[in-house]
Amino acid sequence: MNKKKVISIALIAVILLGAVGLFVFYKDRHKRFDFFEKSSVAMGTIVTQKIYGDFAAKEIENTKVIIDNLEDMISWREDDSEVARLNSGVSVNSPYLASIINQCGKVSGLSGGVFDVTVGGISQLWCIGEENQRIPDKDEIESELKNVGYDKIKLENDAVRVPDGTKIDLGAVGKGAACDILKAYLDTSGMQGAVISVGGSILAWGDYNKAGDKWQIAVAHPRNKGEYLGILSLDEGFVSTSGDYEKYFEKDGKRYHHIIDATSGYPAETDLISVTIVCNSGMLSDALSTACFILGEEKSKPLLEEYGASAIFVDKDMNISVVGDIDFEY
Amino acid sequence: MSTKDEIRRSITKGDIVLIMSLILISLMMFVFSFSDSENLIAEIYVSGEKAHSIALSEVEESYTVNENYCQLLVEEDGVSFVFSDCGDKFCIKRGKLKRPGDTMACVPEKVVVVLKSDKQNGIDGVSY
Repeated sequence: MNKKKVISIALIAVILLGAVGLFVFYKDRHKRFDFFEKSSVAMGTIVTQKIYGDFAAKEIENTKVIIDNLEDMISWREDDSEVARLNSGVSVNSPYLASIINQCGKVSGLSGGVFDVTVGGISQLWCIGEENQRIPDKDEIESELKNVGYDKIKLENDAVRVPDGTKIDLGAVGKGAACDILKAYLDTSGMQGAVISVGGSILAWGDYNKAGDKWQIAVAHPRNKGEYLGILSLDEGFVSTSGDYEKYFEKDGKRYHHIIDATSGYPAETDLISVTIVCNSGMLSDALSTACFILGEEKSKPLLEEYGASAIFVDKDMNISVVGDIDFEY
Repeated sequence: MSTKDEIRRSITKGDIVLIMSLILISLMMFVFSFSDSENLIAEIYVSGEKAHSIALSEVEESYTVNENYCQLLVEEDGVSFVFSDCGDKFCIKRGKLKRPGDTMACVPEKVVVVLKSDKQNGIDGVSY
């Protein structure tokens, strides 16, 4: 074999094997990142964390502590929490709590009051998703409704106070708020990427997808347990879903779910069974998913525009409607 | 004599076999890079610590796992809570976890089950 021929064949071999090698390397590029994952229970729900980067195992412990600390601060069930003290009639000086209450108040105003964090007393009557869930008497609901209304909250600088009888419940926004704090922490952590789910409220964060891929976030099917409605592809962001399928009970053929319309005191009467929100704040995506679920698709649109949020609506006939600039495959 | 004729004359049957072999090897590598089968792994966490990691493809006969007053049934095609001392029994009502990304917890007992794929090209998270 002459020299030219040897060079030609070697060249062909290098090109072919190189092309395949590059393809395999590109296809499996995610494996270049070290990651660590963990699942646990916090805020009365499942927390799953997957963090990419060196020392991710250490970071995952830190982020769990952050979630636990927030729970200690905002859960009305924790005796010494800021919200428990607030509900006992004490004025609480807390910049963080004041900020959350303020933002929730704005969503309440824009939603016509259907979403309201002062709905705590009503939620405790229903106890949906708990052992002692029940249908309260009409009189009980009417009596408790007198304590509901975001305009009852007194905010002076960082001091928050509610009148006797009014009960704050941040359950509708707490998981998303946790995602916000985790994002702020991860921004300075040196990690490369993370997907954290706090009870289904998702934070997708980081450089993991610089190679060109996007995070793949599935949206749960509202009727077929264990199945997905579709897959959201996003670079970064927060995703929250509210539906009538997570916590509910049925009596006499009627479904009583856990999303309470603060204007009626009853589970929201809506033509929707699920709403998913994608936006740039976890707390707002949580608040908006609840508000939009109660309002229905048409009345939700001004709210979505106000916050630059996108949404996936699913109605009772399983019609799916996507509003906004998101990549959702279903 | 033209250059084309020179090349044609200098290529032997052996050269063609060699080049075809290279192309074949490349094609096989390309195909094999797609053909890994997916294996499901059930991870069971108790109070935030991973207590079990079970490759479901290796489960020949179904069996149960007991953790914190919960009993889980491990089968070849999934994992389910079959008993729990908790009040609401949501964990049992959820049924069998079968797909990568499926997650269920018995919150009061702090037992979490996560189903994962050994491949990394699946779902990153589930919003519910």
